[in-house]
Amino acid sequence: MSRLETSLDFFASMGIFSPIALACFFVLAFILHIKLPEKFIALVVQLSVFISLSGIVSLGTLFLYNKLNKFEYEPFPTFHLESFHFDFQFYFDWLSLSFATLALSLCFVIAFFSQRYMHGEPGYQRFFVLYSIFVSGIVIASLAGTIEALFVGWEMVGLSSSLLVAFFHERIMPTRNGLHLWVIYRISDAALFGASYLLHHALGEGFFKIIIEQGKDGLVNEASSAILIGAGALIFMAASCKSALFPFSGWLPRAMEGPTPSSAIFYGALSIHLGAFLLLRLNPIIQLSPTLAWVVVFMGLLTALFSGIIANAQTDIKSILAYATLTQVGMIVAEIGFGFEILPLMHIIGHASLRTYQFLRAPSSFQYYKSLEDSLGKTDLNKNSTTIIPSYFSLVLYSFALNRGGMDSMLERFIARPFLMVFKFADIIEKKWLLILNGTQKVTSSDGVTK
Amino acid sequence: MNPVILPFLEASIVICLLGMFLITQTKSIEKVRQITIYSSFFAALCCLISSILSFSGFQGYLQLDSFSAPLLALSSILTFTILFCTPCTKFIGALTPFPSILVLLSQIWVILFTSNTNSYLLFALLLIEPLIPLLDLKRRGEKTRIFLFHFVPYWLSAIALFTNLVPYEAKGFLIILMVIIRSGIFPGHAWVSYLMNQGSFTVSLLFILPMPSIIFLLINHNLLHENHAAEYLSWLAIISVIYFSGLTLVQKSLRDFYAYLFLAFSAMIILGICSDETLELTAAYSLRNALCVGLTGIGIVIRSLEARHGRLSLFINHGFYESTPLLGIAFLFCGLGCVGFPGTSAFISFEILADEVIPFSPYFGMICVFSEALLSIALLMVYFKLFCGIKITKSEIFKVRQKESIALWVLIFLVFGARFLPHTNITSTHLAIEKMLKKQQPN
Repeated sequence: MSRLETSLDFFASMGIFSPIALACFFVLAFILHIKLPEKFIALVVQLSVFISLSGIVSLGTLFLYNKLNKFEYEPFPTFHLESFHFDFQFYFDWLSLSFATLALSLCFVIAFFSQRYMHGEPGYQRFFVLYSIFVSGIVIASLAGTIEALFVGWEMVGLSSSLLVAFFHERIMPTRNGLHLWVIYRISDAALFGASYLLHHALGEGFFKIIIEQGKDGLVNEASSAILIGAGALIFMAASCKSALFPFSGWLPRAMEGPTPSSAIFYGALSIHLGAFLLLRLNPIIQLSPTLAWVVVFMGLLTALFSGIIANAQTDIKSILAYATLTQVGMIVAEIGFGFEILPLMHIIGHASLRTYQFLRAPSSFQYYKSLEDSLGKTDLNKNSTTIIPSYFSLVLYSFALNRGGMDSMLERFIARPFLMVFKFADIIEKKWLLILNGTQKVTSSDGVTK
Repeated sequence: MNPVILPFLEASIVICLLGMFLITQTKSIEKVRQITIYSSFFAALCCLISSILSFSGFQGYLQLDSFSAPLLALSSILTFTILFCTPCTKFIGALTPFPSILVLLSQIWVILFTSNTNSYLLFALLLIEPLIPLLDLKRRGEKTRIFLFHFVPYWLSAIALFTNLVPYEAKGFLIILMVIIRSGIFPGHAWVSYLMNQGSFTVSLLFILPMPSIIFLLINHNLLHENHAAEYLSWLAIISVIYFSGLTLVQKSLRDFYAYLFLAFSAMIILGICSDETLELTAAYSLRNALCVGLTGIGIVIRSLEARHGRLSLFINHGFYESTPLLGIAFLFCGLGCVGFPGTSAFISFEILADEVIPFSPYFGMICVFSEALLSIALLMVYFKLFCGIKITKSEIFKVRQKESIALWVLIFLVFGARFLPHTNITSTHLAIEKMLKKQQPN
């Protein structure tokens, strides 16, 4: 092995395993109920994210210095058993390096912010346990070189996000919202699992390098391009759920129940862009079918329009920011659908950084505006706002926006409720069947109630 | 006599029998508790030693092979773990005395069943096993109609198979009937939720969690593939998977939820066992082992919560996290272990299972993936219901005891740590199953 390869391996393992080690350490301490001091937690987190970031930046520097374009890193040997194989490989190129650098930089900033913001919170350690799982997940997902590795990171991000939304778990609403998010994320996971199977079926393995290196034109020659388009559709579905695209946008304002640092990093910066990143990573598959590419463009633009309207009627700053974020994510997805590569990446980087700043400033923004008004004298900052929309239409639009397009209630009314009704009916039949078999009119149920 | 070839396996059975005898002679409840736990501990230790020694070729009179040795080790650890952390209140001050004798009898049964590959002996063991929960129901003064409604046909089928009373062509269907009832496949599942609600929770756990019909099907795999029996069973299994997964979402009592959770997973494993591919059998069997650990963990958490608060409803939020955080963590981790979260022992098994089911039928594969998503949603929903939602003040009474902590740590370690390198585990399971299937092939 050459010196360069050894250095690349070393920096790659630094970048990947530092957050994983952090997560393992925190989870172990959490399970064993070891209470760690706040300062120690913050120090370990900052150090770990810094090591990881250094590894990725060093790798990028080596790429620049040696004019490299790609590097594959396989920490574990592929698991083969008959026809099944599980490949856990990482693929470093400019796209994955850029996203990983962005993710780790923002995580590093948030680690410092959270140290003060979460100070004195009873769930301080729990927050950082979930934070470390999230960082590991996002690093694995962004550097994944196979669909299996992506799936692992994807699920870790999903779980930690849901539990962070329900962070203030002594209240009922955060837990409900956390569950709502979990439902959407599980749909996303199921879609990604389906895509994983189809990719294996079409390409014989789940390596991204085949898709990236062959590109759209190379994949057209594959005999199984129809299966690949199916995989593309499932990937788009998984990305839609993760990035809250229309019609799955309902979870985004709900996700703001979590602590501000988690809102900033997950729903303003990284988690919400992960779906877009996946589409960008596997763009050759999306571009295989012009219909699928146009669907991506259409859904992206629809999301942008929809959330742009809704953002105008929101009454709390986190929801406004959430929908404003979604507007940009919709635009990014549309750019990916058009087949751009650099533009969406730059858009993601710029947008994620801006939103992180805005979310972190959100709790103190009223104070900021007050001081601004005080400095300017009694000035109405919104006095120049005028409307060109007719008043009736404006009212309808306002009502639509205030109800967030009614998407949540529609999904609940037409999908969730009928689905649950079927099983509630089945449950009633089950209970009656038990009564018949038991030969009684009453049975003591397990909650101690005689029915 | 060389100490390493001491008949440890036989000794474990003798220890349990001795424990049962001592319990009948003792009047002090505290002593009964100690005898039960110590007997179970030494029996489990002997099983573990005998499993380890079997890999080096040291055997007693009962023979272990590469398939039964790890199974015996895992089963004995789980049985002991369930007993070890049984709250004192179950022994002292309980309305009905703790069924110590039945529990030790269950342990003997598990040892005998997991250390055997002889079909006739397995039949005999399967035949007598339902007597344990039946005796428990009788002891508690509960009606046994539902249980007998299911198990009388089961016994009749087993006797017919055992005595060769039926023609060869019908054997496959009788096996299906037995599996439907014992594994709780739709429509033979009603007894599970009844037993969970009316029987002793410990005895119920020890009865359902070993999933003996899965091991039985593996050992008698040839019988299943005659007369399209496997095909019919796989259809029933897939219906059960989606049906029970959906039912977990609408349960309002914790024990019913657990019963349907078990049923959904059990059906998923049966679906894998119906295949004639070694890879899928490996996945199903590995998944069974992983689920045994995960479901034992969830069962222990439920029992610990109920020992402190009585039967729990899922109508309301309970907010137990503040008072018993370890129980919350264990519930979540064991639940994640069951649904195959990355890093857990079930992850690779579930991946292989779904991957192998899809070529057989894409719809079956999608149903499996969808059901797994439903189950994970139900698990998190119940976690939030039990441990979150309201703020309750901390109390020393509700604090998790040391024994419970140790048991839960062991289980969490088994869910995550023991399968950290799935390669070796699954590969060795695959080899063991291959070897066993070769044995079944006619010369």
